[in-house]
Amino acid sequence: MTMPYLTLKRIVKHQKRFKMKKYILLFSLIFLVLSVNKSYSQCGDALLQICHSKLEDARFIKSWPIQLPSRARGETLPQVSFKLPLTSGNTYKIFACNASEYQGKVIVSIRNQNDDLVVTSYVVEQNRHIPVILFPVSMSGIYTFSFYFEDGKEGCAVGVVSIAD
Amino acid sequence: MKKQKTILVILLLILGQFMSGCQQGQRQEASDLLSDSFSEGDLRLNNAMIAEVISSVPNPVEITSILQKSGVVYSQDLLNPAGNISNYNTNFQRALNIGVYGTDLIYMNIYDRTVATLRYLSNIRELAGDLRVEQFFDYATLNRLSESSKNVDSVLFITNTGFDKMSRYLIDQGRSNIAVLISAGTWIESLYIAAHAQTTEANRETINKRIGEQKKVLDNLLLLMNFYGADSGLDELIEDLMTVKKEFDNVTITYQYAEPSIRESDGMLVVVDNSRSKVDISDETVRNIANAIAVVRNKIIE
Repeated sequence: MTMPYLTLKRIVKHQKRFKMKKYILLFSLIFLVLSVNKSYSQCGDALLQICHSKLEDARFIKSWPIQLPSRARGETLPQVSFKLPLTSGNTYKIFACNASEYQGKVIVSIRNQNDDLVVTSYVVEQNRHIPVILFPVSMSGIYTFSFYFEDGKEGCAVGVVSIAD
Repeated sequence: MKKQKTILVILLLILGQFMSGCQQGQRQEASDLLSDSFSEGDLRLNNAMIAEVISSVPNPVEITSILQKSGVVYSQDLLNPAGNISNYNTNFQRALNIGVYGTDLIYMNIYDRTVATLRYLSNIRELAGDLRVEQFFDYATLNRLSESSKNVDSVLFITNTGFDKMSRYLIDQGRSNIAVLISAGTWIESLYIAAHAQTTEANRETINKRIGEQKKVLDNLLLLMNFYGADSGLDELIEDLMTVKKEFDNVTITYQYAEPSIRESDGMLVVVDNSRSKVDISDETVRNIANAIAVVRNKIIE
């Protein structure tokens, strides 16, 4: 009489064990995915560390993380702007680094406090990106640094301003 | 079965720990209240606006680089003595002096006095700990790098990114009053060092002009500080800075805009800036600014 009961108990036990295994597997997968994202994503702090090597002898002043979505149809080009004071007598080395996992190539443009365009890192006529801008400032003031990605593609980058010796 | 349950619980705990690690800072600061009768006032400022004004305060590297390039000699006497840290018992004092010590640290590094920076680093760590923002500085690496003057650029990189992240974090967490005070401390110390540096006939004009240009920075800083309401604890500091502003009123700055020319050299784009700014500032005004900022600065470091 006890046999059927034991068999049923065993079946339930097996089912529970199977469910538990599924949960363990699921949580392990979630944990693994989160760990991988954290360690290897190039966008963010990791990208700044990579970009740091481009400083060479320049003195780091400021960096901005830039992450923009692709341009939606009929919408304006997504861009982000930051203001920074630059001092006359200093030569600034300005550059940006792109995260390799995104297609977008970042373009930086600088405007003075009169909102006049001073320089941009993209030469439209030649369809060419200039990796580094050297800017010996003669007029102290607040400058606007705008960043956007070529052709409105989605992108992630870091913009860096430093003082060249 | 029991064993599997235990594994599941362990996994859940690890996952929970991992998730909370990502958001630890946010949770920690959600209940952060300053105990120093120091509130933000009734008026809520837009975070982007606060960040923008804080960004308009020049990094100490700017003025210190000019001093060094102009041949101004280094003076340890200009720095806030490291031992003064024991005087800072309120968050108001801690925030201002983290900015002061941060500027001193940068000044020492620019002049290759890296070994002497260790006590200043330790002070920043302590003050940042008291303000619960110590997570933004990699002190172990900074200590190691400070052992050699060859690592100045890396030290500046870690210090500046640390201050930057700390400021952004404080603003995001609704503690922008602390970020503003750190920024004010940074600016006050930078101006104090520039105005009291031993200039020579050859570099005096350059340094004086850079001092005169701080007029606009002070205007922005005061504008921001005035937003924080009467009960913010900033009143006295604003009042003191108004005496400095009075001296800056004798400075005239004019701008002449001209289109820049651009050339390419070694794969770099070199901008030739044809715009000019003219700063009219007399020696007497510089002396008065130096005296006025010394009063404010000595009050905050004592």
